[in-house]
Amino acid sequence: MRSFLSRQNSSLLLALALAFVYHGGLLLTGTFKRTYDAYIHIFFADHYARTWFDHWEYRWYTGFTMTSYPPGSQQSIALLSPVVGLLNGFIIVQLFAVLMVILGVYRFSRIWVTEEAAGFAALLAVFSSSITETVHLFGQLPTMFSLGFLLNSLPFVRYWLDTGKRRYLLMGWIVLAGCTAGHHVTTLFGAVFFVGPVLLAGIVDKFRQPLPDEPSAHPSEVSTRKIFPLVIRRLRRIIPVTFRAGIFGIGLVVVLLGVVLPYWLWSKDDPIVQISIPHASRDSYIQNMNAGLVFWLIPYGLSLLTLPYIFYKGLGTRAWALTLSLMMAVLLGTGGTTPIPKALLGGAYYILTLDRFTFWATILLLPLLGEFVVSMTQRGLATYLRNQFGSLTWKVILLILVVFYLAISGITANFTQFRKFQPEAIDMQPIVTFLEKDQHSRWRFLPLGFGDQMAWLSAQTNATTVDGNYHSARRLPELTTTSIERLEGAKFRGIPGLTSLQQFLAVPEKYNLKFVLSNDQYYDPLLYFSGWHRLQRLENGIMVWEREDIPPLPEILPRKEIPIYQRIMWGIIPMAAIFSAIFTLSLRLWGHHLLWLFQFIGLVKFTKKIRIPGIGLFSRFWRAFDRKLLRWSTVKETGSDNETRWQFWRDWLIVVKNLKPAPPSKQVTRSLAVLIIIIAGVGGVIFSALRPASPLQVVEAYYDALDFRRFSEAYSYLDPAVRPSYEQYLLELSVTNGLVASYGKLDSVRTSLLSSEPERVVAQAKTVWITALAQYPTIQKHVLVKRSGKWYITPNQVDLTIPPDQFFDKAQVNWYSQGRRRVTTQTTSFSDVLDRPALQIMSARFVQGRTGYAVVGELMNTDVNPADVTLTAVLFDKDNKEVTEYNAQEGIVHKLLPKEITPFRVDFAGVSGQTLGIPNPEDPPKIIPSASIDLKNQVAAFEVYAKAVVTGRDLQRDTGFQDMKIEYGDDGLARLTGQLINYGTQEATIPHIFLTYYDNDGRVAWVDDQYVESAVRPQRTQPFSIVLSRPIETSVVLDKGNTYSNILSSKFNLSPQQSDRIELPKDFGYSSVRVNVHYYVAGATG
Amino acid sequence: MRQLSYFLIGLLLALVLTACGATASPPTFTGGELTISAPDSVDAGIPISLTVKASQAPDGAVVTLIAYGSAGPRIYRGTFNKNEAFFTLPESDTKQSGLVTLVAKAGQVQIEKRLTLKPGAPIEPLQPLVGAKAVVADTQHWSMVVIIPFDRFGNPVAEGTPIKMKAKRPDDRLEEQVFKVTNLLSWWRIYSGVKAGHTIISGTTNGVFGPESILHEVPGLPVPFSINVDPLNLTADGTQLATISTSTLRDQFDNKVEDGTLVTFTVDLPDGEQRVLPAYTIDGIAGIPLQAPRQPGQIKIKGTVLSIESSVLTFTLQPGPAVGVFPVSATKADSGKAVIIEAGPLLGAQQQFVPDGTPVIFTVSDKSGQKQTFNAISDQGRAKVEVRIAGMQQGNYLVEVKVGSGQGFTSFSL
Repeated sequence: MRSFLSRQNSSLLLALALAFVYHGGLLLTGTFKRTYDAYIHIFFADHYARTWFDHWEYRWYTGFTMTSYPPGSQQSIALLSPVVGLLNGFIIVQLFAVLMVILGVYRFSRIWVTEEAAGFAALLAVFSSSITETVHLFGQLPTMFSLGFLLNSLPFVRYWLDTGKRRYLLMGWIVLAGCTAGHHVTTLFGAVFFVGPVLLAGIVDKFRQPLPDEPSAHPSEVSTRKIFPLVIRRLRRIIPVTFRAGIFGIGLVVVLLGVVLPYWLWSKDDPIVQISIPHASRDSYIQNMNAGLVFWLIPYGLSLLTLPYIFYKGLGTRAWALTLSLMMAVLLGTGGTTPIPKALLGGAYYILTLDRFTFWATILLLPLLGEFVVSMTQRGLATYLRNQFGSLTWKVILLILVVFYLAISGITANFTQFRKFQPEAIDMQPIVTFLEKDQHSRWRFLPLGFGDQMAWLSAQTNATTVDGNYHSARRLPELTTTSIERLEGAKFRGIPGLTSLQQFLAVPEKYNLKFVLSNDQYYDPLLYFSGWHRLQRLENGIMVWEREDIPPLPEILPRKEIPIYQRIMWGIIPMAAIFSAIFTLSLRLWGHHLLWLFQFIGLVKFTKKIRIPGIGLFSRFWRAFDRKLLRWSTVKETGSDNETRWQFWRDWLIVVKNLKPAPPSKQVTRSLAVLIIIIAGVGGVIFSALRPASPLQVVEAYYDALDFRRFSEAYSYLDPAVRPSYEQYLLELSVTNGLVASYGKLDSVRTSLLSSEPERVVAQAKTVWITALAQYPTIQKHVLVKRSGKWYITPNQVDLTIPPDQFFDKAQVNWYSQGRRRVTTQTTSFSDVLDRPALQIMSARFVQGRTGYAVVGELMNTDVNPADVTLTAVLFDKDNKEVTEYNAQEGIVHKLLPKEITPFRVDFAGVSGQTLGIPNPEDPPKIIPSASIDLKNQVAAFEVYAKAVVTGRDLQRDTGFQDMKIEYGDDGLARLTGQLINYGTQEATIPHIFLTYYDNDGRVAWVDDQYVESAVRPQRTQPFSIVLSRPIETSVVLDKGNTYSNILSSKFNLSPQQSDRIELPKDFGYSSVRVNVHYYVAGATG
Repeated sequence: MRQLSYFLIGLLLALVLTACGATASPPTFTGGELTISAPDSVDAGIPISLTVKASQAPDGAVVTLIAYGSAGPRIYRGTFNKNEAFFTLPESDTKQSGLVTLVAKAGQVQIEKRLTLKPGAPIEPLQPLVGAKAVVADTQHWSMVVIIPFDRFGNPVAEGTPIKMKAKRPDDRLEEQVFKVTNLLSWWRIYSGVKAGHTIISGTTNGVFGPESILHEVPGLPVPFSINVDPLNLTADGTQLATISTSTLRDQFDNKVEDGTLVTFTVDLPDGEQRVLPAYTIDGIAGIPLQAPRQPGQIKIKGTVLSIESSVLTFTLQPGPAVGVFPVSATKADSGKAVIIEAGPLLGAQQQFVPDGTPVIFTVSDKSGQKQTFNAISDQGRAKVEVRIAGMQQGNYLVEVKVGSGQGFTSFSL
């Protein structure tokens, strides 16, 4: 062993040891738990650990096939998991992958650069910011796992090209099979970016290298007669190597197809057809600086500064093919910054994440970066710097480069400490316990705000979810027709994401979705107003939301079968390929022992006797043909043997190389000049950042500070002359609650000046807030004054009203449902089942309104118990075939008191069933506009179903309307204005107002709803203003449909002159409007 | 070695020859009649002995007996001995009551006989099942009580078994009726009474009892009701509260409506504005606080439950929030670029400040009568607005300030 080690490159050994300590240490500290992908691979590994040969995974997306992703790295974890567990299994496999990459970088570099440079390349790889980012920020196991095999296979490819020895061909194929087992995309693109240059360089090297039996001289003059023999001479040199490259290529394709054959069959049978998921790597890195930082600046790190050197050095040496490949990868890695990647990749541009090209570029440049280090420490650059800037400057520069290189790697590894990409670590045990108890796993659940930890949760439970974290396997139309990445993080995808989430929350019974586990209060309003209620808060702070009346999952879930041979292949071949690759790579360690063993048992003699049919014939043919080529390539020697140098630019650079050493005074001057330039640059950036802002910039900065909860900064923008104390300001903010203040995320601010005086301006800020329910636009007017050359915002008047009572009481009714029996684990008994509340659908119409097509009407809870209502509308075509169906989501009060009436509006905007095909991925719609779907001619009938169960939750009704009147604004629109008053003891955090418009017959013509921006505290009021819909904006498509509930629709009839309806002006079009409100109370649990 | 091989081959041959040897076959039943001797009916759950007889059966001939019952077929094998084969159906095979078809088969001959397994006596518990579980107490709505009695083996009891059902009504009436089991169950269509509450239902038969079940008799829709307000002398200060409440809501049979029944109060204010205030009943009464409006005058209040409406309550508000005439001043500020108009003290009927937050409307009119309105709110009995003079014409301006019933005036010149 010692002799083996002594034969190795010392830099490589040091690199491996450092990588083991550095990356192993980081992994042990748990960096991978904050990454994007680690838990996904752990979840996959968990599948293999549970059922190795079962291709079907039930737990995500209502089921998907595991053959949709190469299993090598995940099965490796699964193999280790019985001994060390899944998490430690991941650490071991990832560390193995890192070490393989370090070794691979060295071996790969040896193809292109000196051993010394290759050693430096291995050392550089250890602290490469791109590798650090891939491992500790992205958690990309398969990429690293397969890259290690890919890099290590390349020397075999080169040996095969150079020597033609079949064992190298076989070894190259075997190691690439291991690569494919881990990640087929690495093999696929690796063939272009890594194997391609090796093949090209191998062929060109042969092209330039005379054969032993050919004349060494090159004719000084090339006449027409000499062209043919010269061409034949070159052809003769490259035919064998090209043939070998061809054989290798064919084998590579076979390996690529064969190792993960079930994957290719799956992708052929079930191609990925979905709206492209936006990825920041496709953004312009200039416009989206964050993306530029993560996907460009960090991966390149300090190596960005060396790119000119690398290109120069690479193109001028035998690494030119590598450099061309590197340049292509660099170009593709620029994402959407230039149109070139899109033009080159075509449709693949929307499927691929382009950061992988940058990653590959950072690996491709390592050999030349090693050369750079050699040059900086010992050769050309070192000499130049010492001579021109002095030895001290040279050393300082070296020190700075080393420190910065290490620092960037360290910062990258801990980047998530500075900038949170994931929510805080969640203790999964309470959730796992909840899902296991009371047969909760008989329903599906949906985590919200879990980040990538949702995969870790899934790995610990048998319960299933409609969401998932592996986008290629998604087949549910609600997911594939929008650009949502995961439901749990729907808010990050804006309106399309929330639209997708809403469809699951609106029709949860479709996928037996009963529980939502919320780690983000942003979604609370959406859940509440979609009819969900809070069940309990778990010990880890996760709020469990529940939807009533959801059927449990069937005992047998559907699955898509594949032939048994594919399942066996999937379970055996990838791991066999990995073990074979490891065996092959480690042959140097113990291969001679094995050879001795084979010789001892006579296997070597036996294998030598084996003859591949046709090889002998082919050899004889080639020898005869080669003799002919040799004869044809003979050129009569004439004149000089000197070659003409054609790389003329290299002569120019000789001047640079031969610069005379500068005297010490000049060295100091030049060093100072460089220092001054750097200081000036940094100073300029700081100066521009501190430039006084304009009034509009102050307003924008104020909103930005408020949005990100930087309250001290927001306070600094207020006029010091009149602003309250900071404590008072914080206090006033703290009592401001509601949809926008607590559940909104600022989407945009557009500012404009309304009036302007030299020291005082009035500005208008039009803001758009994204909430889980909808976009919420607001318009605010701000007065700004100039003090000491700076603009400040005059604070807005705060609410000065005081409540009438200091202490008051409010009686209320509470309901509680329980079984009339002792505590037992048995299923629900007959006596525990309450009658469904008696509902009556008063009216229903299918109309086209200003927000799209909808079924509107009224529903009444005639029962003596409160009801939790589910209302479904189904549309039929003229052949009585169902067109689509949907539930009333936000457009209804789900929880009804006895004798309460609610309007309902079932919106068909954006329902996935309507999308009729997948839109062009190049032009993904932000939201599916229902107006563009011609439902009017498509729908011939509709039905409405209402059902309910008894509930005792979320029945607060302590808010009413006061001082309502109808006003016409300057814009000619009629508005219903007034105040909401809260006479209860709990804050109405998000009030939701319904307006039900009636025609002259007293039937519902249209239903509007609006959320009030701010909360209403007890005994306080909150103004509202709602633009009234006009009849011209709606048209009745179908006046009547079948309605189904458990009370006949004619049992109770309301008078058109009900006193709770507000009469509208006679010329308005509608006869009257009824208002009602319900509201979400934050902090309450049901 | 060779000897050992011969021995092994010999042994193998012997084994093969043994295996090929013919086995002795039992005598077969070739003809004649079969009869099954068994009772026509037997209580379920006891062993049954029966005999299959043949006219001419060789001893040892095989006879198969198949019993097709509600639990599926069961097969028994026996042999004739002196033309008779005896079978015993064990207790475990006779637990399920119902018709059992016995089929005896010997050779090509088979015979059938039907045997009835009778269910035993009902056992406890006799569980009354009630559905709907809640009905309106109006003598028109009804629910169904069903009891399915079982014997000790879980068999439905015999048709005609009498089951006595008792129902104790909310008004303490006890109703008793006997129902015979028909089609496996006994049922009672029980009509609601006129008093809301719990009806407790039980069933018995021959000393066999069971738990109670409950039928909820719930009140129907309320009849028209009235509205009350307290206090009646509410001042229009936009702050004070009065309580408006319904009379006790009862249905046509004087039952109080269920707690939580939604009542919507609609309030018409003096200036034409409206209020809609939902409330729910507790012990038959729905009540909520009504905040005084800021305009004095007459108020009308009505309550609604679905289509049932109350009588209208009308009362008059006292003047407020400010009363009388209050002082108003106008001063130039911000180097003459603005005019500050300040009103106050704004006082109520008891010479107290109007409540903080009371809206104060400033109207500035120029000489041509063109008006500009500025809104402010009172703070510590005072309110002020800043009027920017940029864009305003030179001349006199009249300022009018209104706070409910109170008002003030001033003027300024530019």
